[in-house]
Amino acid sequence: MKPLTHPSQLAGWKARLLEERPAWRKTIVVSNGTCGRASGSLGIIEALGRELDRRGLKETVGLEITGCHGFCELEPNVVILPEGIYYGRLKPEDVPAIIEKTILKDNVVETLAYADPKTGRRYVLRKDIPFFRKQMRLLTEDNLRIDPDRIEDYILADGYQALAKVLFDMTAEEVIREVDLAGLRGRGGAGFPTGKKWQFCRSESADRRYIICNADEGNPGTYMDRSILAANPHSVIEGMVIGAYAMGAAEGYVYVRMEAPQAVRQVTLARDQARQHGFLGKSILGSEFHFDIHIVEGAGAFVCGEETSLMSSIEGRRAVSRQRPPFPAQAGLWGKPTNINNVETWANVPLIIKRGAEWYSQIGTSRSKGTKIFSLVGKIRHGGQVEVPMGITLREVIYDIGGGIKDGQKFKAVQTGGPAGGFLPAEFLDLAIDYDNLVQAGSTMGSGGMIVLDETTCMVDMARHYMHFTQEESCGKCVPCRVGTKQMHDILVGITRGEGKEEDLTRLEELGDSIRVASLCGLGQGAPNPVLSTLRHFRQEYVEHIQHKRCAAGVCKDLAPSSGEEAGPAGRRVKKNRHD
Amino acid sequence: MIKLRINGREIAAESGTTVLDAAQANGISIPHLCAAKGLSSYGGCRLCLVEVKGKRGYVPACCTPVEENLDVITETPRLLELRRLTFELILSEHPHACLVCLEKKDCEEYKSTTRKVGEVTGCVLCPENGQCRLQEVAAELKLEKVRYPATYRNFEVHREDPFFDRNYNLCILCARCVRVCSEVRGAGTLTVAYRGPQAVIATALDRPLLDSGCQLCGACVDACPTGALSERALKGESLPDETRSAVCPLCSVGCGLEVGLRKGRLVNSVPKAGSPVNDGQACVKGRFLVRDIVLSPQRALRPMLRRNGELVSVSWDEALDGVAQALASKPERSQGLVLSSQLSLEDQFVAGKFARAFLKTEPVFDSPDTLALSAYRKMLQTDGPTPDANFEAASLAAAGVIVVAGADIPLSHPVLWVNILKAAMKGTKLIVWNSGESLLDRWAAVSLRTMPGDESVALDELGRWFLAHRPQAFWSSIPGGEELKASLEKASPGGTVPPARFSEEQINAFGELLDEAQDGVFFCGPGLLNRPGAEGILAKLWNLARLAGARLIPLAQESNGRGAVELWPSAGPVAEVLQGLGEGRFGSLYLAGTIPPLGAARPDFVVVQDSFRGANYETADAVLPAATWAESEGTFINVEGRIQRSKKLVEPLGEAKPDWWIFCRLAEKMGSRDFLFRDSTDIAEEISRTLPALHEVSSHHQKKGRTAFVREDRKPGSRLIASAPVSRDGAARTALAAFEAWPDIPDFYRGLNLREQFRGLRRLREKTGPAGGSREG
Amino acid sequence: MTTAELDVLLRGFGHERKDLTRILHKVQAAYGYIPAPAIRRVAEHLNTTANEVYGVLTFYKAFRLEPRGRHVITACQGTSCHVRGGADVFAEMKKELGIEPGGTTADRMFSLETVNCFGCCAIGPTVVVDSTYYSRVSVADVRSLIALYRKRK
Repeated sequence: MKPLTHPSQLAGWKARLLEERPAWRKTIVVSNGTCGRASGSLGIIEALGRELDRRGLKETVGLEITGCHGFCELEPNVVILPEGIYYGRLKPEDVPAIIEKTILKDNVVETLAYADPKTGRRYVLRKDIPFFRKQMRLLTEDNLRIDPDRIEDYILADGYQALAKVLFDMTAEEVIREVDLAGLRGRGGAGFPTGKKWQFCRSESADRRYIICNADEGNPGTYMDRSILAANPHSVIEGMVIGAYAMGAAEGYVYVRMEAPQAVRQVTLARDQARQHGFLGKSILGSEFHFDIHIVEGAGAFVCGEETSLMSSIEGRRAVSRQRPPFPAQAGLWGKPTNINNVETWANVPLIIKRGAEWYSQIGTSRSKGTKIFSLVGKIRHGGQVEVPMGITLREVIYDIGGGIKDGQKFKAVQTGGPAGGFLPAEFLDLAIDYDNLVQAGSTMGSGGMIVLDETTCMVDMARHYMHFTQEESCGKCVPCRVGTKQMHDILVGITRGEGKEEDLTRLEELGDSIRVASLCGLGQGAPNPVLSTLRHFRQEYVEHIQHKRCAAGVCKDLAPSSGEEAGPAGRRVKKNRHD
Repeated sequence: MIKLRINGREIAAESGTTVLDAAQANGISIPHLCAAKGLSSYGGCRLCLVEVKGKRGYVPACCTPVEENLDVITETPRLLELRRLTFELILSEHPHACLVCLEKKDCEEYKSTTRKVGEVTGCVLCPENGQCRLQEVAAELKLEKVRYPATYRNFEVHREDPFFDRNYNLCILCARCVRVCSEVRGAGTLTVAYRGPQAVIATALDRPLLDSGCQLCGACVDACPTGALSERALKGESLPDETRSAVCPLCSVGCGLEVGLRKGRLVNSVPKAGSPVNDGQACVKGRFLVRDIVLSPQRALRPMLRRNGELVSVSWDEALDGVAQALASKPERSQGLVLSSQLSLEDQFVAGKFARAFLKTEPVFDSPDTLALSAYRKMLQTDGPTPDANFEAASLAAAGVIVVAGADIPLSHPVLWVNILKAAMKGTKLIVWNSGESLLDRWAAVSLRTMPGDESVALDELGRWFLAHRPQAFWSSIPGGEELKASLEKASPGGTVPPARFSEEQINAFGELLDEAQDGVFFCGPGLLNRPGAEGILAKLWNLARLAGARLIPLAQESNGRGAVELWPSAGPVAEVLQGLGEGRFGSLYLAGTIPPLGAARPDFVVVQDSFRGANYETADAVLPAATWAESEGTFINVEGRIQRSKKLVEPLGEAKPDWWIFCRLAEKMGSRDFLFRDSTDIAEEISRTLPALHEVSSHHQKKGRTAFVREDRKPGSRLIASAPVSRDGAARTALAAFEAWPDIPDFYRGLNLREQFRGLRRLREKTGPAGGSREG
Repeated sequence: MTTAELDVLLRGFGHERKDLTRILHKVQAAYGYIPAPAIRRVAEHLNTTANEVYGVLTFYKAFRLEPRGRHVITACQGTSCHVRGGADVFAEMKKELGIEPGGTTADRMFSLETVNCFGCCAIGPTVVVDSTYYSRVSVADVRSLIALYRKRK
């Protein structure tokens, strides 16, 4: 197909695609994201293909392979249209029953439908499943309609219409104003107002500018950015083209972590398709706007998620952080004004343009607009990708959507914000999630990780875990981060080994408070947060470790578990000189 | 100027500088370790954090540019707390026992210690003790204890390279060494490797520095704030108790050095910060070889005469008598005087005067580029000096394009390279034309390569670009333009001209760059100037520079090469002397310079006047021990045309005497009263009086803080030269061809071959050229 | 590895410094690691020094200077996997293989690596062997997983 040279051709193309779409009697949509594959979705796809073939159903029943559906705990799963029947935790041997009962006879295979763990009640339709009911899947709902290998699916989902509107009906300033009025804030963690950020970049005079999509997503426990890129890459590309137009950039970079090979593959494919069809390159859609995207793969460094480090990495240098100011908007890639936004931020842009800032700003709280995708993971019963409006409470997310704690354990805390974030114990469960509330409570939004912890988690061990992470990922340039976190880490290791001393806690706070303000970049500045947060909310646990050489959660192997018995659960060693 | 406030004080600062610079310039001290003048801002040590009103958090002063109305506070209780904590963290990874030891004061007074130990566990065992930046910061912060447990990284100390060790157990990862090596020297030998707590300064695969492109210039050693990089010469020695300024005699850049002395003995030499020539940079020779050159066991220390076939020690009086007699007795045959271009102006002046008065000859300089430099000087005078031959290395960045022809400047004139690199990094385009690869090529916009001998034809090819790109009016407007045009046309292909040296692309790239840029400079060096036919090449290069609207500056190889031709413009080529010797035309030879071993061609009487027992020492009839430049005051002219006086650093070793003194005493012995100079200052005044171009050699101009340059007559207009001047060395071409192994890097000081004497230098040259080995690892 | 082979690889790239990580990825994909001669050749291609290239490649976890074992086992150290039992799984893996992360077994069958997040957080602990993902791995699974790969060629 030749590239589009006029916006009117877009509508025409969509119309043709609608016409040509086969009228399946039923469609089986398979979730084939990273979690899906790790759980065996490829086997399910193969089994479905074989069974449909065997039954001669290939002409009447559609088989769509899409990205992540969101309910990762139940993968591999399928959704059967038009009803919207949801079957999860599938094995290849379940396939014949699905075809026989549901496809051919319109019956439900009860055992494959979701069952409420407490009541046992079955929910057959996806829309009824509690996990989905309270979500607002503005960005992620299209995942079910889109095979990421096919740009046509994106067009059918009204793809690139926002871009057409921007290029031909809006000025750059109008675009920025719309994004600003919508109240979009950066989804990477800092929550900086996106419209303002774009304006800074645009205002800086230079002979060229760059935009970057930060898809490094290094926070452990988070995977929604790579899911968006793998499931609906064009939404991000479209957002970037719109942003480039608004800011006056001719080149953009998508920096994807190499540990997300599926995301790399899909976004590269989507970029190539966009080029072929005239959404990237010279004279986009026949306009006077030129813009193209380079895809860059990371090489295993968390610090590359930090803006200045990311730019160093793109430039082919050691990815150490640089002092700001100058900010990227003033002098970024190769000294030129550069705007960096997170994947989810870019993905929001076409939505805002299509539906309008006014509509968008109705969603969320007074200062945090729109939805946020969270990776709800950890000791949660129903883990996965959840997209919720800002302002929803932690309790609703964790209990109503997530089904509470798995294995019948008790909630202890939820960790948000990754290695720069904090822990929120039970008393914060009714917190309305938004950027500022989370900061006030002693944590941060971060990129959207929500790791649920129960009584079997040791908070001291969690602090040590994050400090160890920092030591592995520190770029090593500045003293507070390189050396200071090592000192903190050593103290924490000592505490978990029963060597803790009285003054350790003061020492940790002293170091932590200083590292936070003295470090060169966000990695160092945020590194003490998990420690300071656990000290704030779970100080007693530290005291237990130090004074009584006891680890209530039973995680620290050199210490006694809570029960005070001679030996803990099977396999646990008990320190010889424990105090009792 | 920008106005800002620091701690309530109104400060005026230059735009483009940092808050740290502004503070330091105004006597406000902010502790810092990773920031250094001339290096890019790093912001790694975090000691210089300050508060800025209106901005959240703290910013490092070294990374904060001065802005109008900035309001900075450098000290608050919190800042001091942070500074102290950060410094303690640094020390937790650096052996700091001595810094916090309660016995510190007594230890300094009473404990004597050797520093040649395997491990440094504290200041007293560290070669940097007394000049360590950590000690300074500790004192400023009034450090009393380090609250954090210490870690020792337990690296094996690197001892595999010449001149200095690398002990990364002492490294604080300020990365000054990495930055100076890459940003200032362009060598890129050091890098930070790995990251986080594993970060370490390294070379690729931990190879020795010599295998990694290092030139052993010592910039990293000087940049290092701790004892991690320390020169071996200082180990086992105590620190110098005084320093004296000197000018380095080992190449024609003439870097300013700070020579360290202890109890009057030479200890070491470091480049002088702020010196207009080198601003804190040096090369391997000036940095590491000075002391051992002066103290070399190869020194000639006693006057000697040959009696009964043996060289015996005699008194000065006897020696001078003996020489005077011998010289006076051979008037009917030629007598030659060969001078070193490394001698001071005073020495050369007196020597030449002596040669004219008593040997009835002009002096001859031993450097092969003398003829070409003389020819150039003549061209300047007859063909107009617009522009002139003086320049300032520090302002090379103003040039739009720099052409380097026939010179591996990073090797032959390393500190000039530092200035060229600075210019290249600021946007000056570099065109390089050599017979081999050099570090210059990495920054060259155009790299041209020819075989030795092809230069003349190549120059014609380059000249022809201008044929095609300049209108007739241009040629008619310059004196000599028409003839040049005609000669270029004659040399075009179709005639009897050999095939092209350069591709069409290369010639176009060359021409276009020169056309675009303003204020070009052409440098040509030993690769062209040392060759037979150099004057012809120089003339063509002159033409080319004129066509491009650029200046041509020849680079003398030796420290006083430019001075030599200013004093004695009609000095003959050494090749003529060599030829004459071969034909037996000389009755005596006065060798105050270096020539190859005489062998069978030796005349009846040979005087060797040198600081060292060089090639012709063993067979000399008389030996007159000369003082080195460190042992005598003298004036030198560098490549810039800058006149610099180098002071006496130490008393001459043994019975050595300054060269001018020897010539004066000899003249007296031979009956003259024209050589009654009391000291070198007298001679300097005479030079200043008698040679207008060297007027600024006088003491008045050599006062501290004043710059002095060769004065040049300014005549309007500039000629192009159509054909090369008659070359004097045509006949001597064969003689010189035999001598073609004359190195293009002056790795000798008078009769001392530095490569033979210093294993470290030899290893360096073997690894990194010229004409030897790959450039880097 | 011959310089000719490497030159063919490099021909696909311009001489811009920004291509360095891409080039290194390609070299490693071709050879399994970054051979020493490649460091110099890549440096020449990009008009920089081998030391600079070395500084960049050692910064990143992805690049290795030595060949790996036949099978590379990567255990996720992310927070979600950690709280779901990943620490115990990792400890068991180290014990079974007898090596530390970054190391290779003496028989060169297995190399052990860690990663800080694979993105299968909801179904962790996750272990990836070569390019196959294993989720919900338990301590008991470790031995059989290793045995499975020991049998494979």
